[in-house]
Amino acid sequence: MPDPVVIPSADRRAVHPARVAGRAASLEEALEAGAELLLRARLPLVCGLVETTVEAQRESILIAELLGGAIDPATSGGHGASILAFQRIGRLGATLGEVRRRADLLVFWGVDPEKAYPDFVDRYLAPTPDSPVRRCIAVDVGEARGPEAADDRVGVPSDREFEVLWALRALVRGDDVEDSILDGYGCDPASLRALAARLVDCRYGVVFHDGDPRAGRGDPGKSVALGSMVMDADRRTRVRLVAIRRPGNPVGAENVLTWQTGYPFAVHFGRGYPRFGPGEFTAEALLSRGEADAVLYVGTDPARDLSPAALDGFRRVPAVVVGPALDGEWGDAEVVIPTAPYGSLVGSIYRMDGVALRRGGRQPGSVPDDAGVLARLARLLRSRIRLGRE
Amino acid sequence: MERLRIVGGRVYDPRNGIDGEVREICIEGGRIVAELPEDAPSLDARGMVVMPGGVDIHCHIAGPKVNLARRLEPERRRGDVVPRRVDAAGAVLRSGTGGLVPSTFATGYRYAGLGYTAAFEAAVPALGARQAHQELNDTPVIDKGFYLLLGNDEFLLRQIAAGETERAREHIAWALAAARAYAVKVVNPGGVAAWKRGGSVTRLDDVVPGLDVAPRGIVAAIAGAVDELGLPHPMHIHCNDLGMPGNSATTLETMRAVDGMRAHFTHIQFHAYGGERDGRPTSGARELVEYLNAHPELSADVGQVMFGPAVAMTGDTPVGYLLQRLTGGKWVAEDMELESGCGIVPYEYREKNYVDSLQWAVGLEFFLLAEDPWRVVLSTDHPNGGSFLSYPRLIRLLMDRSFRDDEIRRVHPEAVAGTALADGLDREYTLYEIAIITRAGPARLLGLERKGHLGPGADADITIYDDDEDVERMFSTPRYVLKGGVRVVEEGEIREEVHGTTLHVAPEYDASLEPVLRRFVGDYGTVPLDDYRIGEEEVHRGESFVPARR
Repeated sequence: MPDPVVIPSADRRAVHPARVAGRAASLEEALEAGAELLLRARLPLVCGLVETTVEAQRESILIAELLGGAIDPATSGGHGASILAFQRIGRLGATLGEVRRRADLLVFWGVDPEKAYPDFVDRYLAPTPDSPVRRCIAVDVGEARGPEAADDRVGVPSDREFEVLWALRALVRGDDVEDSILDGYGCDPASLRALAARLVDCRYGVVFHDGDPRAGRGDPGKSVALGSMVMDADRRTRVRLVAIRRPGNPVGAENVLTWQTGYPFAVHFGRGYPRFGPGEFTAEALLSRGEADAVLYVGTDPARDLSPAALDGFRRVPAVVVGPALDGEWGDAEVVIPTAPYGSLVGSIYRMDGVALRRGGRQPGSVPDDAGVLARLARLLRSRIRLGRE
Repeated sequence: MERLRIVGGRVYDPRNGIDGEVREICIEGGRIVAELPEDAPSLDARGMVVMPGGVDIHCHIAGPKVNLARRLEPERRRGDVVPRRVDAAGAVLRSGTGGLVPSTFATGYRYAGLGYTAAFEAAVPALGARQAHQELNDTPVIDKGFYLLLGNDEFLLRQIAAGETERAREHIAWALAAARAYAVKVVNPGGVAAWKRGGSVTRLDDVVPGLDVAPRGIVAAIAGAVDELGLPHPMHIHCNDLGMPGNSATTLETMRAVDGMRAHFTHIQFHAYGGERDGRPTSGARELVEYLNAHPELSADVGQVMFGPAVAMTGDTPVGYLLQRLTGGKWVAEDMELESGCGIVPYEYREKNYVDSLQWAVGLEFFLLAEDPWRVVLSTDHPNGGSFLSYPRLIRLLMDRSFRDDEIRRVHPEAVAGTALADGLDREYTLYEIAIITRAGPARLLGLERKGHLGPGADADITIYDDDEDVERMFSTPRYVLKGGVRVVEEGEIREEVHGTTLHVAPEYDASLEPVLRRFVGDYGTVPLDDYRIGEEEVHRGESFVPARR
């Protein structure tokens, strides 16, 4: 069975040589040009960081710190809302193995994990010798539908999601909510009441949600409401919240940033120590406002996560791109250093539930891993920068 | 070979019986040696106090729950920054943030700045071992290691329940070797497994639902296996029923259950309350201290509570639930497959609060009533009872009776009334005893032959303090700290960065167990067995120890 956090092998494209200003270059020349470009910048931004290993993420943070720049994972625009909610209320969570073994109720809140992980159910939810019979409820939030195979469905208009969650909180706490109010949210009162009843009558309920909504769609208010609803239901039984993260290693990026700086995204080293600025030091904000004047992008496709305004900002500044899939428009960046595709990197990656796994065993002799390239870039930068008391 | 002679300092080296004598300490190649040639460079330590580097036997500095706690509270770290610097050798000292749970680089620098040269993360689940190693790799200067959670391990509990003693022992050996852990940690034995099944285990003979095993059998089996495997540190146990009134009876019963085998009772203060279960707790320290005093095979660290901010951070998930009901604030609980979980609750200990004051007083009772400082050592269960940065203040409480009496007058009077503190305990720790409870004792309990002392062959991990009347100030900012003979700290600030080693055991095990385990994690979990195994290359500067079986 393929590892679901690995990008499928379709991403193994033809290997390009490194390029500087559109011309073929040796790796040394590209690193030299990249270092110069980043050193000239007033506010260099390091971003991407999702389709890569912990080892490359560590080097990327060192580079941002040496440069006094900012660093932000590509998923911050969507997942940032969940993190801000976490910092507000905390979280009740579980690893997927606990879900597999104990859950007798699964609620898919606007997410169908099999869209990103086709074998999710077989791999993580196959019954154990002692697991209970399980009921699945799909909550369709606007267009974001839960699994089609669910036992029950509840429809929630996307522009009323917050209100519905708040009403559900009241219901799981045993407070009464009049049907007319629920009707007013465009939500069927009977099915919402049934959902609330299941959430408190189960023995171990798990609410899956989309951990990486499209950039800009995340809403800390909704995330707080969802997390609070889970905590309220947990007062009467046991309920857990599990984020379905997108393929890649976004959890690794957030974890390494947190242990090295204290903060999981939107980190700025410009004052010589990490500052946390959600909405301020994110790649989206720094690029769309034109504050970042150079970019080191580590990964596959900047267009995926940035707004048109931020993409425009990206295109205006000189960039160093380190990653596997560089035959699109990102191949036009000032400095391009092709590295091995995500699926063949050697190193550590984090599963969506926070369990660190090890990947290894790639055949030697192919394109370099990004971690090695970034380590060389970091050493080069260190040799060029005068710091502090030197 | 780098050589250095430390001259003129008053040396406190309890393991070698040296109590404040002025003598030379000679260093060569990172170790202590008996003598050096006359022309070796010297460090003038006249008027100073020389001790081995501190060894923290129980703290929380790495792994999944620690990192969640870092992420949880940006508000408590924004005002406490560690700027990037360049050290004397031109190396970059990485920046970070502090708060109750500092970022990794800051953790290493701050421990070293405090005169500590080794620290052990006390609770890592097998599935968190990789992350713990990654964080320890990024924790500079100090030597470190972690203890592996095994007291609620599903496979292990089943073997114990079935009377498969040998298989239980081989599983412990396998798990330690796979995770590259240093010791076995037991948290609320059977209690977390029971809680996950919707049940509750608080007493030694409460049976875990569906597993037909109780804490008494679990602790006896694990303590026995640890002894047979010849592990350097005994079973490190956090007893059942943490924090509850009347739990000292459970703790005492646990001590009896290990029945002559070695065991280390951690943060014992949190397990030492009398009183009725639904009533107000009282002190239950005295009978536990008496039992400890009479049983040389047992040891403890105190888990002192210090007034001010803290973070409750535990592998004992039900305790997280209890605490959150008290604070009503933000919190984290996570369930982890096949062993353990965690609870994180920000907390503040207040002098005017009865329970907080009682906990403070109970901790001091342990320190002041213990007859053998080698077996009752210092900890705050960082950051549960307070940050490791509060150790100097704790040392002052132990060394300075008038300071302690002033503090006693500030706390909740009813809390102190029923404790030995009310009897006017006049004991004042000496520097020699402080050296025991902060370095020589923990090193001996951990089986670290080259640490906690300054005899020939020891690692040249040395802390040199100005001899200051104000012991809190003295222990807060060492004049010099040497790590492996390198002068890493001057005046409490990092002067030169080094990278310590990650210490772990590598016990041999019966490989025929692996197919059984592989099937078990396949049947009940979602992480393949091979992902439990930490590769040699994943531990930067690892140092393994192969124990000899008994």
